[in-house]
Amino acid sequence: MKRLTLNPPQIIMFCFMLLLLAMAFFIDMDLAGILNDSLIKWAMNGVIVLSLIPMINVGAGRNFGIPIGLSAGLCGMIFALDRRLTSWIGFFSSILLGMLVAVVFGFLYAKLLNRLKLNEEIVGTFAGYSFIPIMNLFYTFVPVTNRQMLYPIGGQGLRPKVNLDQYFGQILDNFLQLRIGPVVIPLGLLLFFFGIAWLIWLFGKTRTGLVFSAIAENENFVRLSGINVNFYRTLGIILSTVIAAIGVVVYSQSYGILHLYDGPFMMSFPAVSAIVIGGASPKKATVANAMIGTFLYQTTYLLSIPVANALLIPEMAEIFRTIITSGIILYAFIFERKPKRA
Amino acid sequence: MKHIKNNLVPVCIFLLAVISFYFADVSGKYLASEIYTRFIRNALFVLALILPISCGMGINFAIVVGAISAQMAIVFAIDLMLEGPAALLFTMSVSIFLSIVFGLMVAALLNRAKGREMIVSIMIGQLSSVLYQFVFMVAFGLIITPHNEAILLDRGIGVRSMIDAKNISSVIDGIFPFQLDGKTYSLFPLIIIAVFALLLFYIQRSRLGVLAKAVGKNIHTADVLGLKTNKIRSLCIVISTIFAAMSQILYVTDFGTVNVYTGHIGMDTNAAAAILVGGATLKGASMKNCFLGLILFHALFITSPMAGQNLFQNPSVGEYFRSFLAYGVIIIALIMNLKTEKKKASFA
Repeated sequence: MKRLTLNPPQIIMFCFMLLLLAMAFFIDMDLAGILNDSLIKWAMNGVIVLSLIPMINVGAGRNFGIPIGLSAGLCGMIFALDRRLTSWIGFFSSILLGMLVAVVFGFLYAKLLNRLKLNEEIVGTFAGYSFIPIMNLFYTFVPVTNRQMLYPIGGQGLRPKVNLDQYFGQILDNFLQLRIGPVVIPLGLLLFFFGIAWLIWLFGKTRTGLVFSAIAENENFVRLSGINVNFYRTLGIILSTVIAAIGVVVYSQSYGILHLYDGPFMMSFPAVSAIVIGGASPKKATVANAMIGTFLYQTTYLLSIPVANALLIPEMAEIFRTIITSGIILYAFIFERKPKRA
Repeated sequence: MKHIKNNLVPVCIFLLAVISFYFADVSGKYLASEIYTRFIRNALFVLALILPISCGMGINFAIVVGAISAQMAIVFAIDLMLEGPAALLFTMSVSIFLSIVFGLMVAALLNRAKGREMIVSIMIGQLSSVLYQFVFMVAFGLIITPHNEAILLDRGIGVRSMIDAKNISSVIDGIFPFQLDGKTYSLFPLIIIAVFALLLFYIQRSRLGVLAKAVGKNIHTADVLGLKTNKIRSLCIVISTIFAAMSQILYVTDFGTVNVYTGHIGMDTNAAAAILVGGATLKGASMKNCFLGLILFHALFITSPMAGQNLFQNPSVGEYFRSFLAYGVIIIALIMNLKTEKKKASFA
């Protein structure tokens, strides 16, 4: 059992969070409210961050191509909303349809990444970027009959933001809420989040999961022992895409809005940054890394909003968030051990 | 036939541009004038990418840093209320100084991340962009005391998002004017671009250029031969940053106003797409690629929304198509790169 150590990003984040907490205390903030929000934000973004794990563990790098998986999940939701499926049926059919689409997208994405090994990060970034305009074309021409999803004028093309209130908005958030005084614990949401995390942890213990980590450790050795490396890489990438699709459904139900078009554009960097904060190395990420990282990242952002407002500069929260995001990723690229060239 | 096969990307884009021009239903003069504007605004950005490519660092997305230093210099010039040629001279010298300092910092980071310079340069661009926003949105008025109160927001902290840059743009107006499509354009920016292109031409053939090529061919051999590889790479990055800064100054003088917070965003991907459309690879780029790519990419960029409007009654179709192209061409370049490397490996 490895001793628990803190890496520099975690120390910086802890210090920053303590500073923000002190300031929040100073300006008399509603700490119970912050705790409630941070629990929701944790699970809401957590599933997307969990989706990075299979790809890191199979040695395919940090998935900067998250928008591909997110688009799959959005497709699933579009199909479900078009059928006017509400409540739990709508939620779970969105997830199922999204997963089906994600398998196809993930397979194509894996084909691309297997061709361009060792360049996964840059390929992922631009694959994600260039996939968004393709999906935008799809949103413009998809034959949807539900008027609430279409542009009010013209009747062609989906709206950038579709309200989910009538369908399954906040359905997980409000499920099994536990009230302890002013603190509200969204038990249903957290159980769903922990359930997915548990499944990923369990997957890491299976034979396939062990092969994954062996590939990340030494790809050539695994190939020489007669294992089809590209097959396992494809599997890992598809798995990542599928979990990202689930993640965006969870995210959207919490957000209450289905955000199409440029919605997933800038979602890859925060997720990668969160898992790096959690202590994931380029070849090994655990469920705990993702969970700790997401909690630190999201809570810090949440705390910075009222503090920035109190200082009368509301833009500061967003600026700090982006500084943290890109600074942490830059740190990870520059100070980690170099990958061995195959 | 072989020629076409070797230049598949430019030929395809040329065909697309012709199709798009046909459906866009605009006059050739309009297209020419639009391309001229975009050409003088973006040419130096694209030229800035050549040296980092030739020394093996791939596309330098950190040219955003150069654009940022130019924007800072321009805002300072407006803050000091400089006018006319003095303002332009001040802006140029300050931005060159800033881009040398920032360029050295970028180079230090990139030298620590050999083999993955491209993604690191993207992150450097993002980080520097927010740090710059922080300086002008929060520190200005709070820590730095401005001289020109007119550029501040009403709350007294932070610079306005749009500032009039007439003090610089008025300098260029009216030098060597010519008429095109009913509007008056100045030839002066074109002359500046030509001067910088000649400068780059000289650098490529000077000692530095040859050494950079050697480093780009094989960095380990260059290291063993006793070349100071890190120093050569740093110099290339610094020159690239200076070029980007000059480009941003040209952009602002042509545009007339400074978009303080967003003026530098997106320059990097557009420039990268232009040079790759022109037939450059991640290992080799020439000036021919730059100019050809600029014209082709921007011709497509201008006509595609109108073609989308005429074909599908929806202008956003063309817009999606062009942004797909701008990002997708980088992946195509990576795939082509892999092929040439495999060919090389099979010969060796």
